[in-house]
Amino acid sequence: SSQPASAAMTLLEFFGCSLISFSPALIMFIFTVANNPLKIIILTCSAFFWLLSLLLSSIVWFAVVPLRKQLVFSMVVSILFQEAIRIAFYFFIKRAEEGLQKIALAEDASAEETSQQSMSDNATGGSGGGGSSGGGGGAAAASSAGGSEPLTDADQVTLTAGTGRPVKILHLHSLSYVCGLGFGFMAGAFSMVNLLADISGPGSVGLGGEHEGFLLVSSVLALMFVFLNICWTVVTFVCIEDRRLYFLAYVWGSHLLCSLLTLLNSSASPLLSLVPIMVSLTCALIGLLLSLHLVEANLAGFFTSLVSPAWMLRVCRR
Amino acid sequence: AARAQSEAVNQQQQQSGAEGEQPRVEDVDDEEEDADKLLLYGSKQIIRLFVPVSICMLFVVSIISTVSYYSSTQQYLPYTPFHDQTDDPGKIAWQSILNALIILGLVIVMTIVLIVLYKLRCYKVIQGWLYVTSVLILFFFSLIFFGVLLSTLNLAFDYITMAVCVWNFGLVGQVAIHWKGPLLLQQMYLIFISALMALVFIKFLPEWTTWVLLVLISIWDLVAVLCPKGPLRMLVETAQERNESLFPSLIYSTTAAYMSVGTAEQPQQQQQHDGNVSSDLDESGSHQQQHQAAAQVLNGGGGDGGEAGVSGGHDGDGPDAAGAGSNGLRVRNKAFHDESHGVKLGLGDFVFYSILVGRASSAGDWNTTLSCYFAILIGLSLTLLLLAIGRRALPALPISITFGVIFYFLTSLIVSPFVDALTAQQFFI
Repeated sequence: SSQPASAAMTLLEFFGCSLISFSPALIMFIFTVANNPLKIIILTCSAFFWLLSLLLSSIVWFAVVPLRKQLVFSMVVSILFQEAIRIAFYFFIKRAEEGLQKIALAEDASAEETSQQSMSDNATGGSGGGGSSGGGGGAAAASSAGGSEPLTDADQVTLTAGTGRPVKILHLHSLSYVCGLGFGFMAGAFSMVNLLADISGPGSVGLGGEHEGFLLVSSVLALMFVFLNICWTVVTFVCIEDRRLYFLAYVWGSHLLCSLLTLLNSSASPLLSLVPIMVSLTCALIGLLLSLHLVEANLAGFFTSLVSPAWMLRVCRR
Repeated sequence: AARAQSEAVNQQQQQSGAEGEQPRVEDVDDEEEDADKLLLYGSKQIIRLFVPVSICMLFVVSIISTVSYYSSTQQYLPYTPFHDQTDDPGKIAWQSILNALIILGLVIVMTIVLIVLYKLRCYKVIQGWLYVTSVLILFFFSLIFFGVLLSTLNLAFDYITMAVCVWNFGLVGQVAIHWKGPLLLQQMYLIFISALMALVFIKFLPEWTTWVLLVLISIWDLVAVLCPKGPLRMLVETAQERNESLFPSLIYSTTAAYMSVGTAEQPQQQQQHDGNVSSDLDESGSHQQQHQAAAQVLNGGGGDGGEAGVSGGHDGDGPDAAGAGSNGLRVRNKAFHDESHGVKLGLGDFVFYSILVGRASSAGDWNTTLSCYFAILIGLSLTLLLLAIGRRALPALPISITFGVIFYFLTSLIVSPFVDALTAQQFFI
């Protein structure tokens, strides 16, 4: 009788809160990340790195037994770990880029070898069984499929030792944006997912004396932290790249500020939660302006992109 | 032939690598573009595996969390005889280790049986076995699955309609998997089969046995695929000597490949949306393993639930070689000139990843599920990266399962209490 109605009610709250927290991240993912497989992989990596930072901070929390109840200590430790991991991810990506570049160049060379060798193979009819068993080495497929481009001299690649110019796998700005998205999504997910699972079951918030806006506050804060993480990551990466380390002060300062202000959240009154929300919003806006300034994006252009997906796609695909 | 050719190619590459790279005409822009395309291509292959693995895991997790049939363990397989409900860690430890060893033993036995059959050229036997296996999964396990799904959703359904639906469902699945069909349909059915098998394993295995089994299976996988005398390696080499392809079904491939057992036919070329040609078929004996596993699970599950009068023809039943075989994972790197090479991942990999994530989610904590999911994805990317570097069949289980198991225990024991303490008071970090 009332079961479908109450199920619908809690499902509504579930969808509402999850969309509050995650729909901007989802939209950003769909429009800017989903079509580029490399970005998806970097997103997964950055989410994993955030998970590592959480793991490290939990170990510290677990180990320091007397301070387990004083969450402030572990929160500060966690913030420090997160920032450290953010910087570490920058260096990791740099290193990975070099490594991948080497692999890519080596692949190129071998691809050239393969095609040449297989073409000579085919000439001598050495592809036993024709193109059977899976387009033998692809080389045979290349020559027999007829759908591939003919190899020309222009496709020859250089492998001189120490080929100077690094191949840009991904532009730093879009890389930092994707990384921030990963961090933010993971941070929001870990704080929201259990709440969302609980709220979609039977029951109502507030039976234990908490205020009804508990879930709403959590969702909005998760949303704020997604944006904040994106801004922090962009600022951090560009700072380290350009060696303008003083902007890191903004990142660390605002992270500590926004995070420690959430200590004001209490289950008694929702009004106190307005403080962290508003401060986070302000920090996010400042962060946005700062990141745009650092990546030298045109502010007007940025706002245009918010209403014009095509422009945004163009910018973010750089 | 393909194998021989690819080995020749490998040797050639090694030679060129050994001689050092010869300077050629430098064209920096082309080089950048080519390298970029290559990376993009490689990452596309990784994503092409991320998507089905994620779908399978998502399916398993959602079923576990909604359908109570699969999250409750009342009956056990005859292969896990030690399943006392006790809290004594020592007892749990030795019982689960023994159970897992029994199952692993079954896996090994079935693998050896399969290799013997293959070496003796009993292709008809193997093929028949595969057919029977998939029939059992597609008809009987699906029937049970739909039954419990309908009862969870509280929908009324009559037997006649159910019979018609399951009949069609199963038959189309048979055709799509073993014969010709749209690639997407085949992929969907393969994902469905893997998810169903994972659900069955989660249902019938005691909890700690699952974890020990996962670890043991990944070690076995490592050994079987990489050691020179490893069974799976021998299988592949035998197939290669005979210039034959291995069984095409029960391997998830991102491009189409239709071949019959034990012959070296011209692969049918099916125009995919990116115009691929059928990719290589030098799979390691993963499929056989899947089949074995499937057969075994089926027999185990069937005998258990009293459904499907499955004859005890195969006695080495159990959740076995699925993992063992499945891990032939190949990427062919004729890269950007023709995107004809799909990536192949054995169904056993799907099954064991889903078992891990499903078991993690059955504990009720979604933080754990999330972290296991990302750990598995990262493990899969690392494996594919190693594949790109190593260029040989690699086991896909060890790295992912290791990460997954480590992260499961770390998250559930250390991270979750921390995060719960924070979110209960709405402290954000």
